[in-house]
Amino acid sequence: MKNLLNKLPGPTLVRALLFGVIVIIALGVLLVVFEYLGRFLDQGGTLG
Amino acid sequence: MYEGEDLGTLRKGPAHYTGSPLPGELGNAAIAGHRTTYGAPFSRLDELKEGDPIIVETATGIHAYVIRSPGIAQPNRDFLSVHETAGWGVVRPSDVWVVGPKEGAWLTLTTCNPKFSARERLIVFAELVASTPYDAPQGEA
Repeated sequence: MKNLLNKLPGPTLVRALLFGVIVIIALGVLLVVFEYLGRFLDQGGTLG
Repeated sequence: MYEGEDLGTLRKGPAHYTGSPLPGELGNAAIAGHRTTYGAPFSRLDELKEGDPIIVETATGIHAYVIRSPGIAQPNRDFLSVHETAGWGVVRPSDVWVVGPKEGAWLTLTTCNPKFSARERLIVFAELVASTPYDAPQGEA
């Protein structure tokens, strides 16, 4: 995480903002993948 | 436990099948739950054994069930596999008889099987052995 932060361009404030945006996007992607996979891998055990 | 077995409700936790009796009532009270996602409330359902107790507390009282083997709970039905001593069986997702009406007072728990797959359903059957309504005098069951 710290390496990623250091590799980002610009001054510290810009890098911190970029890092925050990347984290938010990553969490969003994770949520979408989780929802998508969940429908196939675990349907809640219902019948019918 | 939440009412309605739709996906939105199941995200919140174990869901009671609409139309089935409530726990403690006569008939087949059916509850579904996720096995691997959304907190996985039924993740360890396969660890339950015949004779294990299940205690359900509702707004009306406390209801004690005991797990019965699938062969005893549903003797005339076809299972993909039955784990008699473990107290659970495996059926197809289309086997809706699992949650259908049943004589006596039963609790049926359903979840996906195997883990990380929706190919089959793992089923646990439990029979009501004691029920204590909240409005009953102390000591009366």
